[in-house]
Amino acid sequence: MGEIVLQTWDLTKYYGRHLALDHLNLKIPKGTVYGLLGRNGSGKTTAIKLLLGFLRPTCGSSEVLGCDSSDLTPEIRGRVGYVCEGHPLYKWMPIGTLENFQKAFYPDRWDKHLFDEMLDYFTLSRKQRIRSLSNGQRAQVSLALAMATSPDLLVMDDPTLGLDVVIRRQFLQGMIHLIQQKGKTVLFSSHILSDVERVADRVAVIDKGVLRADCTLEQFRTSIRKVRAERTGSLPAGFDLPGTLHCRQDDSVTEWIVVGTTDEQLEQAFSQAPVKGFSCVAMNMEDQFIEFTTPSGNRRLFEWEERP
Amino acid sequence: MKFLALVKKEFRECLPWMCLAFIIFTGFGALLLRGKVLYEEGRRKEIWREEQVVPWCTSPISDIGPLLLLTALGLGLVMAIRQFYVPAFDKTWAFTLHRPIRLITAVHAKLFVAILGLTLSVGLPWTGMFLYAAIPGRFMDPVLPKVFWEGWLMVGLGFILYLGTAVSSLCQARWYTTKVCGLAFAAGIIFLAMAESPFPAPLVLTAIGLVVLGIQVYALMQSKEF
Amino acid sequence: MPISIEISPGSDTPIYTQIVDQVSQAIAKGSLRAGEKLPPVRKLAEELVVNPNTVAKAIQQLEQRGLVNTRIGSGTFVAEPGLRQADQNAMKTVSDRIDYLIGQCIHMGLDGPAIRRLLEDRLNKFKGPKEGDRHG
Repeated sequence: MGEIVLQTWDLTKYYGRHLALDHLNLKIPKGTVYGLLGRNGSGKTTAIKLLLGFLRPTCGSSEVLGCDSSDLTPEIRGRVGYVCEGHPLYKWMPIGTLENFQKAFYPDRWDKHLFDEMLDYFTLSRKQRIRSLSNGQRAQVSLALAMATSPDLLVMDDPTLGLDVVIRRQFLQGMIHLIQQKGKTVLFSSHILSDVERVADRVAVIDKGVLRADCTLEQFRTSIRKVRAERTGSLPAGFDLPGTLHCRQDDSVTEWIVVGTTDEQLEQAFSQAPVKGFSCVAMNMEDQFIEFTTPSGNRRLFEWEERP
Repeated sequence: MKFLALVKKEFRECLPWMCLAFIIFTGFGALLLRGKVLYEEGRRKEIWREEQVVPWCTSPISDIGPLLLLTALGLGLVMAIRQFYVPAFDKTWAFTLHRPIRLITAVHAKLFVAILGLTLSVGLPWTGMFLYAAIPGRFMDPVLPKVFWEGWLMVGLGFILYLGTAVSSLCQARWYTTKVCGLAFAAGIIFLAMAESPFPAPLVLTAIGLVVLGIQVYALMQSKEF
Repeated sequence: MPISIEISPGSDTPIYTQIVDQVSQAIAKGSLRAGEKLPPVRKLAEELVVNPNTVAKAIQQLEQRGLVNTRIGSGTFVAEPGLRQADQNAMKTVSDRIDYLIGQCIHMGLDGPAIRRLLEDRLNKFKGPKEGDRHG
């Protein structure tokens, strides 16, 4: 792993008695597009708000660009772009005024050319007031404002929630444009798995406040598999494949969803079993995610890399 | 540069309220003053006719007092709501506070605009009215300088209510527990200051109020979760 | 772009595999000729709206299979047919895939001869480098 831009140590947050985030340990290396996946209320927004110092952790800590989250200096904030869900902006401001407002805070980093280009591309005029914009247009302004500050780290919390496919595509293009530049990092949380699959290098899955997966996208995709076997007799009691998430049976076929199980382990497990052979069925990312986060008796923490 | 940008934004957001306060105070104040001047002219005629004259109980300009107090309090209340309560409601705190600034700078900008607003909308018109009333010959009874400072004290009380409202807005407890404390404390200070009391007391009370509420605002902003 | 690559993110196959497959197919069918230059990684990433690392990985795989060559400073070019030597790793990957496909066919109820017929049928749809003209 290269330089770490975001890190958490046992980051925990309670809202009263509700545990929103449970001992989160994340490391985000520079230069990656990091997709944070999780269902509604899983703790993704809480994690991001803690990272950016908008919430105080109940215990644990986190750092952004080497600076403690609860005391981010103006210099560090100046290097982090933040786009949050709903894109709250000052309703009364015309886009031009908002541009000047934003510019005043980033005198050295403001990329006027990029902002102009993006406004043109989105066909937005500087005279339009924020209150007159649709949700999608406000998202576009939000994205342009964040990207024109030339951030080293772009943090986006469900930026395309409720927005149409065109806007979602534009956000992806923005992320790719940013990541092409050396040394930039993107952290974004999303429900849209296809978007995450397109642009993410690494994914983390948070489920009910617990980090369940933290690996490269490829590892995620190749490790969660469906194994089908046609039975010739009933399986012995207690028969289990290593890494099973779920198991389903019907008249003649049993299906397992497994995590991180190697082919050798499968061969070994089935060598003595009354089955006609087995096959591994590829899954799409949505199914993998669903199987991984559906509550089941067997939960597996999913970590593939040694933490240095 | 950054502070100025924040000030401009805060100013523009409170501007409609400042204008409203200015219009109300200046409008009604001028009417009141005009009424006094006309009454004064009537008095002069009576004196000239050597009739019994009922002396002024209070300085004519003092009758502007209640209007001034109400306007200052009203403006303070509304500005605090606009600056500290609305951003939580429309979620723009996240945008404002993710600027590359120290948190305290955002607070300073808001406080600066509040003081500026009260000064421009209420303080300066009051000064103008007082100077108008103080022109020699305008009123027979002398217009005392202390009245001038009392007027500005009321502007200060407006700022006290502003701070109290800010504290209540920022407090994350529920209304029926400690959230109402800021407002209650401010109301207490205002009430005591306006009650008949020997001279330094209102000033001291206002100063205490400013310090206590001011510290509360800073402390709450530092510890608040957004 | 000499060929159009269609990315389906919701599919079972990972995106880089889709890119590899589609480029390989295009080379096999002749839509991409030997010596033709592929777009740079940046451009491809922007056009496909896909992480540049994914594209780079796909190019790497294609290189491993001997289908393309990257020359530093010039770009990536489709390799000459003679140079597309299958190495051991590639052979294993292909064999594994064939096993997987055969497994699927068996599950569908196809027997040996049926599978062979299917294979012949699909092979005929390809115009290999040694057989006849290329279609653009």
